[in-house]
Amino acid sequence: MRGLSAIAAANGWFITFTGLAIVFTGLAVLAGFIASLEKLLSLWERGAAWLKRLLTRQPPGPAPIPLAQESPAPMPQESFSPRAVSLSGETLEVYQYFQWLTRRQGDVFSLSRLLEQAEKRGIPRPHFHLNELLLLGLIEELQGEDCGFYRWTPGVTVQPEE
Amino acid sequence: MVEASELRQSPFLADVPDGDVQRLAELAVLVHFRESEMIFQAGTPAKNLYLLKSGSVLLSFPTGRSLVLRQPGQALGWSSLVSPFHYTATAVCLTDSVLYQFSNAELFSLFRMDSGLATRITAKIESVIRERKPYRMPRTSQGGGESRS
Repeated sequence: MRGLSAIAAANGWFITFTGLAIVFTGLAVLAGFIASLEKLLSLWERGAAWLKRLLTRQPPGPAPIPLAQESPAPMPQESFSPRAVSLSGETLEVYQYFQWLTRRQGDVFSLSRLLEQAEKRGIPRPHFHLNELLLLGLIEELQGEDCGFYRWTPGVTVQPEE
Repeated sequence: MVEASELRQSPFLADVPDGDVQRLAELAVLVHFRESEMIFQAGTPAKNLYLLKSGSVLLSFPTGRSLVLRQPGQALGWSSLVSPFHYTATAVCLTDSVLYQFSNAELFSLFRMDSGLATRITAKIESVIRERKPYRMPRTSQGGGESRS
């Protein structure tokens, strides 16, 4: 027995199509995984940030003091006092993306490089959002020899807008 | 051409006599740029000087440093008046922006006819160059560490 009949007799067609199906299924799964990798990573980042926030809230605060006994609050110091900024949906999302991107550059980062990376990753309206974050004081320019480089303003926390 | 009264409001020309502002207004062209649009790129031939009317522009230097311009009247593209006439930074709009554009060829023609105006504008450009000099300097403390001053 030779040729096609030999293939058919030895279950060759079934084996061929099963092999093809296995390979293509594997490739499709791999492609799907790679396509959603960015989303998975950002989910991971958000989860880690959420967990961190949760853990920092864990320790119970001191027992409440009656208002009458409460000492007067010190005068807020503009440059160092902690401040909370509320961000709306898309800006908050871009803020988190920017935080992730700047982490690769270190504490001090270049705005042009940040924009370049944001554009490369298809982040929506990076220029507009960068301007917003600068205006809100979430990003500040360094002084002296490092002028022209920026950092996330210390003491400023971000919360979702209600 | 733009209205002299409109250009008069630009802080860059605050102490320039009315006659000079009138002559500059005759050369000025109002240009509109969209968010994320590039106005000019570092290293390319510099042919225009700009004064910001409204919006926000990010000036990025090849050193990695950046400067945000959002005050009306701030000048960009001074390289168009200084040899070797190549932009030293890239200007990109962070928001929709409106600028007054001056062709350097027309400015030079005007300066040839009016040395007083040339002196006044050159002095202003010099101060802009001085202000932005630190941004053109390469960074000494590399590595993104805690180098703060």
